[in-house]
Amino acid sequence: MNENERYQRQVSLKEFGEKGQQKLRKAKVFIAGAGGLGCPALLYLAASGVGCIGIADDDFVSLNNLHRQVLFSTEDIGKPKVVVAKKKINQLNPDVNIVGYQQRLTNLNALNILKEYDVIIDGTDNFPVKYMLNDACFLLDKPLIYGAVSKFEGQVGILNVADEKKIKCNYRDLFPHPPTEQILNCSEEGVLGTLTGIIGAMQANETIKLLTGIGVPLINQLLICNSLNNQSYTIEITENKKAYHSPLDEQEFIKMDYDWLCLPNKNIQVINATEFRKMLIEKDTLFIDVRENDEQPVVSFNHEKIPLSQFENEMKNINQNRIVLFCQTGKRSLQAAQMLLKDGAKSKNIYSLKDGILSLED
Amino acid sequence: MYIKAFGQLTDIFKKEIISIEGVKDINELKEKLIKSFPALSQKSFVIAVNKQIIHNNVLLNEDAEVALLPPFSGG
Repeated sequence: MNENERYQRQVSLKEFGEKGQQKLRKAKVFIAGAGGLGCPALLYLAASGVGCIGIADDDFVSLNNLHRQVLFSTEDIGKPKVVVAKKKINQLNPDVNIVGYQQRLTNLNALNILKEYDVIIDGTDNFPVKYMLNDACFLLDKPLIYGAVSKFEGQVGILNVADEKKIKCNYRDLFPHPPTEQILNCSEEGVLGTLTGIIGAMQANETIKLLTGIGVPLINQLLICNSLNNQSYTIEITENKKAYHSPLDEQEFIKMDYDWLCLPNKNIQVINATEFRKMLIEKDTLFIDVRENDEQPVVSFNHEKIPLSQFENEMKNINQNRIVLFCQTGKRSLQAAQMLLKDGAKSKNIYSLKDGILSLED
Repeated sequence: MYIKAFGQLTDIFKKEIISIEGVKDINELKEKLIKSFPALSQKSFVIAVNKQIIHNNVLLNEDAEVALLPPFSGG
């Protein structure tokens, strides 16, 4: 196969050229999350010939992923996303060295993984990982291509890269502290696959611009796109160092509890897999799976199913005083716990499984 | 002056742009907005004036363009 032919249409752009192609070939890009943003970003960066792409995700393909996570097919349901992603990208472009991390990115492994890469793409879907990823990029001095969506709107920008005035802003300069109220993500409030496609492709586009030095990348800027009315709005992010304290070294970073940091209501007891297993044999304890109905893997112990999307309506039927909530990764169970507390369940003992049922699998 | 809302804040305003008159600075604007839209006090957002994020109270011209930006987490 003639490699020149593969990239001919982009190499013939005079701004990009063979030089641009070489820069992409030498680049190492990391994508956090193979979801709605990560899939399109991965597809386009792999197709464009980025030499090495790392992708981290500990989740499995579900049927309700497929409308936006366009890398996956119906036959992939139940398989690890990273394994499928690797196979599909190898088929798309064997030039790309794709490194899969079938694990959840945490403050314990992030620095070791991210330090190998030139540019980091945020394809995550929750605040704890967003803050963690930001702090890791800050410590390692790595460019972070930020992206996020809410209903019909998307945000994209480049963080931690110095602008002409030598100013480098990070996510905390924009949002110094995690929100104190519930912010819904795609699995709860819904999203059109085209929007995550647009934002993920924009993240890939900004990555290519940054790596090859063409155009005007969104450094210290936040672009907000509305997919319903096609309006876009770009704002300048400005330094806000006095408003926050982010970890200053590795020791401080690995001591952080990002799930806790981003927990709006801190009265919930977060338990680990060992504590969870102990509680399984205790009496008068209700275990509730708050994942949506078709999610994998299925668990074998006694539990009730109240998907988060119906939780607010159905939680009044919960009579037990000892309630253990769990989901895939520990995020939605925390939200369900918040709902219970908000509803006045303060006298109940509410537990949430840290890192979700994926932490039980070993 | 015009206040542009993004994300879930548009559900509170019931529209994307509202207009407010006679506020001299950000603090006064916040007060007035929360009085008109009490649900706003429960929401996290940052403020941009003339397309630049601001972190402190600043004076507002009548022709200032103010935007309220909530954090997004979806992906």
